[in-house]
Amino acid sequence: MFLVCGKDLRLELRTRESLAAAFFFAVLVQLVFSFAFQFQELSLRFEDVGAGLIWITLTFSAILSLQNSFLIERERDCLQALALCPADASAIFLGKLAANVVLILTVQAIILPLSVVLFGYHLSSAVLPVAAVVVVNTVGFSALGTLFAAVTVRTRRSELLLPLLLFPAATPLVIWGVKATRLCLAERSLDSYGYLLVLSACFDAIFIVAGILLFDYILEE
Amino acid sequence: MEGPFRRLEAVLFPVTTILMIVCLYRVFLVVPNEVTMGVVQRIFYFHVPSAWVSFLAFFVVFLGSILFLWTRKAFWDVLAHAAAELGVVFCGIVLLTGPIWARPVWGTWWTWEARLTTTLVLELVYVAYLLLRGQAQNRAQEARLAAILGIVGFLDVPIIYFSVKLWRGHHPIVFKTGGGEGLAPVMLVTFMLCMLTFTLLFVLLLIQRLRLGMLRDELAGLLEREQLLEG
Repeated sequence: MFLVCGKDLRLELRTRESLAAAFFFAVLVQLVFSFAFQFQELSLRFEDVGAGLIWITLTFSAILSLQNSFLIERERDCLQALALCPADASAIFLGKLAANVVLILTVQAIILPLSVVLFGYHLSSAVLPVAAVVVVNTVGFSALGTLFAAVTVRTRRSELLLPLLLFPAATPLVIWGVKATRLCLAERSLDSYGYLLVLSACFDAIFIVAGILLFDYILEE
Repeated sequence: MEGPFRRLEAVLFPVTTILMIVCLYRVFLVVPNEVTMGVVQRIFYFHVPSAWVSFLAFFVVFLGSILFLWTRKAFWDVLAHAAAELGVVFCGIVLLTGPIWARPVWGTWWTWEARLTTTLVLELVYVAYLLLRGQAQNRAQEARLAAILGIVGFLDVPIIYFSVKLWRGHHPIVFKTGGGEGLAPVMLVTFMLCMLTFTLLFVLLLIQRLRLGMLRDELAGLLEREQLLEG
């Protein structure tokens, strides 16, 4: 598991392809977002719509990382080699999942401060709660995403299929994530959004277990 | 497998046809108008059974997927595929008839309410399921990947419903469950009849689609063998 994770991270560190792509894509999303909502003209408060911005950016840029994590295995039949290696399929799943979580969180760690600069809202007092929400939901999104990326990678048009599968299935995470983030930004106490974190954590657990159980069937060929 | 299915179909087809005519007769000519909602309430005799059938269909997809991964019999895969197609069709009927009712009664075509949103997300999940099947590279791969999605997708359904419910309010309870007070007997009988008819219709279509799927696999097998013999 650690080998798979380490291998993916090392590869990313050397090429920086996926990180760069996800980062610039996230910036683009923010750009479109600011055009779409016209903060100054409509005098919107960022606290009201900011949670939406964070989650739109997160989900769209995360898709790129997830996509890439199995596309790199498709070249030269690396996936076959992975499946042949004498490790449990669940170890490969967990390794891939860990690598994806690290990559997505890295992008988030750059993007969130950047959005503070671009939209001028106050994150400093809510930074820890927001970080907790982002981490918990990223794990679940990555678990589903890793599973579906592995499912779609060997089909034709895999780039098209992954978002189609992942977005509807990840609806609960987006709902809970946005809601919790909004409460964090409004500087509410932990009581008001703690249950959302617990729900997301349950979601994470369910789909990590599902991934561990089902990954065997995905790899065989 | 072929024989019993064909016999069942021979019985089901006339029974469903007659029942459907009886249903239409009762829905349009026997049942009185609902007091507050008026004539448009009659759409519920088709709306609710369609919703029930689509949930049933997605459950069959779930069962078929598990049994396929377990036994590796192509039959279960064809069953899951057939049920997914029917589920998408009936779910589409629900999504079409709902707004037709909602426009005059709620004054809006659509609201982001728990059951509506869940139904929409559900439809999207299973449309993606069918797309995945269409994009697979070969038959074995298609069956395996679709089974995984059939399982994960169905596990997701209650969670989606729960999350959307937490997010947005309540659905009007048009037909009260349990006891059925507030529903005139003549309406209740018609409603139950519609439920029965739609369920039978689903089984009938499922069997037909299942036989078609198995024939298609058989044909593909024969063509492959012929190619091998020629080449």
